[in-house]
Amino acid sequence: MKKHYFLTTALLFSLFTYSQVGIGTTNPQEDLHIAGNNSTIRIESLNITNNPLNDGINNSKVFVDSNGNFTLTPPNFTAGGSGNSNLPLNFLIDVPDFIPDNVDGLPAPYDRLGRIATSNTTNESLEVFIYSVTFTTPQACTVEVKHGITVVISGSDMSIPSLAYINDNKTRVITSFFCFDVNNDGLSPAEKALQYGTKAQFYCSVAGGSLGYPYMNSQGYATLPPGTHSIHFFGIITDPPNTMTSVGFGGATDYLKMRVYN
Amino acid sequence: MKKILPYIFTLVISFSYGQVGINTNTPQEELHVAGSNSTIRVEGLNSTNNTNNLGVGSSSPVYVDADGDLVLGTLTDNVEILFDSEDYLMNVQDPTNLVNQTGGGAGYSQAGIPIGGTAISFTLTRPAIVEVNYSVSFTLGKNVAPNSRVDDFRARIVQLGMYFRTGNYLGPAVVNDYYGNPINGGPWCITSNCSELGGLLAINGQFYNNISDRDGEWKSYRNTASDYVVLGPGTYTPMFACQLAVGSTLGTGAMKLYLGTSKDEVQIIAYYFN
Repeated sequence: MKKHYFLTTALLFSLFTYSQVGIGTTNPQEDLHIAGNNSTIRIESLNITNNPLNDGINNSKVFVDSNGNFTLTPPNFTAGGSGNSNLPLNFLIDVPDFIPDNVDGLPAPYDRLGRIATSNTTNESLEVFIYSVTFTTPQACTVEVKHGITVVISGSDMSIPSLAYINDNKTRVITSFFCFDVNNDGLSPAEKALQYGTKAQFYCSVAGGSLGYPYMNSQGYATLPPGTHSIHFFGIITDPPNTMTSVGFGGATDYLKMRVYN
Repeated sequence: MKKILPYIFTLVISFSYGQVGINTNTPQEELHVAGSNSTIRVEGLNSTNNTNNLGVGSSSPVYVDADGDLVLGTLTDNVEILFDSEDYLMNVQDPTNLVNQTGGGAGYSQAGIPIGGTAISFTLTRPAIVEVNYSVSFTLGKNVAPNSRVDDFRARIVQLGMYFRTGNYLGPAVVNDYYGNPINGGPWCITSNCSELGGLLAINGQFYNNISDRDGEWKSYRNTASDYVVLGPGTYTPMFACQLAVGSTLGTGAMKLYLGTSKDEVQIIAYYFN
């Protein structure tokens, strides 16, 4: 009987080393193989009693830390934190009114015209850089952009400054798009050639039409490496020959949202 | 036989160790699976046994339930479509969805009541990135009838934004996001006399123009937009504020717009925090 007790004690207190272990199987296929149609692993430190990140209502996402240990603690998590500290893995960059309302520093009442571009009577098409926003991605990711740019359209050159209804009955087209400057080191011709979220709408009126702010809305996706990048917005005015079209981009409340999927 | 029995007893109950190592003599955790390519296979989570396994060629997120048991995420653990309405606003032409034309400048009016009234809302139990997608119909004209269309050829802007009310559609308007920041840098006046402020989302504006009071389309239009906002736990109801603006109102005169007169699509999708 002494021998038996010794063996039992040994089993309970020694550290056991296996090469492969099967639970519910005698033929393990991995280092640890837990067989059975309904098999799972219980880790009590992750349960509702022991882990404040387990709310017991919804299942809690499991991560592995740098040691490979299972954890419920998400990346960049701050205990008891709020706000941006505990963003989801796929987070959101929100830049309200991302284009300054008075880029050219004009006096009132011309101080809400944004970035002004004027296609005068000699131009039939004009492209203008509107504004850029710098942002940082922590790792290689796919970025989703949704935005709205306010527009005001005048029949006189707003940069003078002035404002006048378009009254020539001619249709013109206002276009916007955006590009990504990877690493924020200057928008190269190749980067400029990748144009996303192109949106265009027409304008045409007699006197007394709109001098207000419709929105140019669009969206697009891009895959980016980790680092600091910038998103550059451009506008295009297209109008008939001998036609004056002055457009202010971003004079009212614009919005820019970037979902980062990493 | 008497001697063998204690061994069998031992084998059955002895799976209670302090620490177990696989491929290591010095386990650092209760269960330590060593080896640079080591992994754990749990058959209860494989694609044969678990319908939440996304199958060959895809990895599936792993969660724990309240007991700490490893489980596979269901659809709603990550992302949830809270709302997918095929026709959101009541298809009427009455004061509840009327937007009167304003001159230049801001002048949103709330318009439209959800079909289903106070029964319509969605609830977030956790903070979430909320995506909104809408396509909302409108009809416009002088008297919104076939023989009184816009006839002054003055370009008008039809501007539309979504905002949330707390609780049902009669609750107070939501101004700030989860972080306490004004939604989209707002708020905006959402009634014509600015008696209430709201945080507008997915603001969209397009032009309308027409020159004949008997010809030209005056219905079947839609404003469409998409946006994100971070919201905290709570019950919310999507609502709309609309503006019909023209620089000079001297042309056709008082103009009306009715919102939601045809089918409207509204989708609310929650992407939950960690």
